[in-house]
Amino acid sequence: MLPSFVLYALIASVLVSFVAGTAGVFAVLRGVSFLIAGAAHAALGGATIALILATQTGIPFLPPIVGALLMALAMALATGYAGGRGITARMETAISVFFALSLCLAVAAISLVPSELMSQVWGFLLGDILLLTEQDVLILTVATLVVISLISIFFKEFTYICFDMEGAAAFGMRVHLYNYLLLSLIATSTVIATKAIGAIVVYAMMTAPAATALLHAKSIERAIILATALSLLYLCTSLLISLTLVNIAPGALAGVLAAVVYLISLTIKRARRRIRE
Amino acid sequence: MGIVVVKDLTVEYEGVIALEDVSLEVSEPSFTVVLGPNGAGKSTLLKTLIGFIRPVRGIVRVLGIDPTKEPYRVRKLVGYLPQREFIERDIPIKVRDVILFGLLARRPPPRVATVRDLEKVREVLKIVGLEELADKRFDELSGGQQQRVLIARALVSDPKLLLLDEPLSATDVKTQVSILELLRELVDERNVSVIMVTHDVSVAVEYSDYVALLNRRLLAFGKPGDVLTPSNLVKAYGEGLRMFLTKEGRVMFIADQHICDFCEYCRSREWRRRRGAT
Repeated sequence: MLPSFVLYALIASVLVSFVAGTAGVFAVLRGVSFLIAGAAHAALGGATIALILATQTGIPFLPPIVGALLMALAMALATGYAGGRGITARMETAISVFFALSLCLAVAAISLVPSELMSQVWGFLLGDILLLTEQDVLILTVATLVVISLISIFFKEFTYICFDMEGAAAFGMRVHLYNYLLLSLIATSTVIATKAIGAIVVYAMMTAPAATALLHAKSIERAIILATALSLLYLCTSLLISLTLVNIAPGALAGVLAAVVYLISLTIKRARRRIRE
Repeated sequence: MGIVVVKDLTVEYEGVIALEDVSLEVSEPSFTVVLGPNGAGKSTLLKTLIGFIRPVRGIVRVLGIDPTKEPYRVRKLVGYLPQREFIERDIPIKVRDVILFGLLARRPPPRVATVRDLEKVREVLKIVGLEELADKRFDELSGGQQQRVLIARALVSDPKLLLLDEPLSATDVKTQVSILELLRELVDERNVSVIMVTHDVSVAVEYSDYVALLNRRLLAFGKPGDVLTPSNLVKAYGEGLRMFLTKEGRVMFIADQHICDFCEYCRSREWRRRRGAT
């Protein structure tokens, strides 16, 4: 029988893999992968503010993960609004501005956290896949199911706005609605993954497997399956290494694996193209 | 009433007047080319017709509908091809799915393709001469084939009007000719009206029924021979317009300030000599 913390870590790995595979692929296709970094830092700020509210003031209890989710969603919606018609260059500028804002809010909130609560903030920053509680796993499961269901239902709409937003609008689709929904789902996925692997590593884990899969896959569906499988492989491998070989943060190790495999895949793909030419 | 009616149209785009007092009427079926230098308001005109931009003043009617009041009704009836730069070409998506996009995006969710839709896709692929490429990935096609697929996507819903924003950009002369012959065939044999924005004046001479020469204001509108006079071209492009003969024997008019990486002229020896290149 596995100890409960290992079981929770394995369940969280599966959940993170699913969101990294689905939302990660759409983030890369939409050209907003940097939104993941912004949403992760917004989540850090939101979780910290929730922590302060819960412990320092008389305001009713707000779980840090809910605070993280609210702040990340606010960041995604502000990005969608500022990005206007959804042109990639404008989205990048909007994401950069709100990434900086999120980071500033997170730093300001952290500076107000009393020292006895700093370990919880560090947990969110660096990830605590081996310290997840039953409640955490339950929240992550529900959030993952919501994200996967909505991405499945609106798969075509998201594909169309990634491929040609102006064309989709010209054919009568309510593109802004789907754009906001997609950005919100990417932000929600980021919060889910951040809770398990930390605000820093989440960027690598959500973009690198998706980018690797898109180098090889023949369709978006296959890219999602491949990115999910790769994420699961990295997370399980790093969990195994951290539990049996070296006492190292599994999330960080998974992030390193993801980045290295992406680099190798890219090199192989370029070499193959050169040989063909 | 014409398929497109524009009267005293003034449009501001991001705080700048992009079109001023433009009036024109396009009757069906016809091939109209919108010409003018960069920043002349050509794309703005198309975006106004499809209801993306609300005019400051003036009247616009497309197929008898006011796009400022009922943009979604107009969009469901018109085929549109945006500029190349707005399309993400590295997405792993099949040609068939790109064309289905033109049908399913017009419907409410769930956007499920029917057998009839798939037949329609085959039909339009045949029209653009790419029926054997339905299962190919879009990003594996040449630039010219991609443009043809996007024209097929605009055609798949059987629109009476096609609005095409620079469909010839980044394609070689041979591909341009094949696209233009296809568009001419659509007008002559399928009664589709085409309004196309382009930089290439020779296209207007050889293929269009009408030319709208824009430079913020409508400088001239009518038959190519009446519009493309030296004085009108000077009004639109300035003094530096030159005539140029391509290898294929096509006449091209190029403005002195024109610089691009694609057209025959910019690649020519004459251009290289003038730039001082070896």
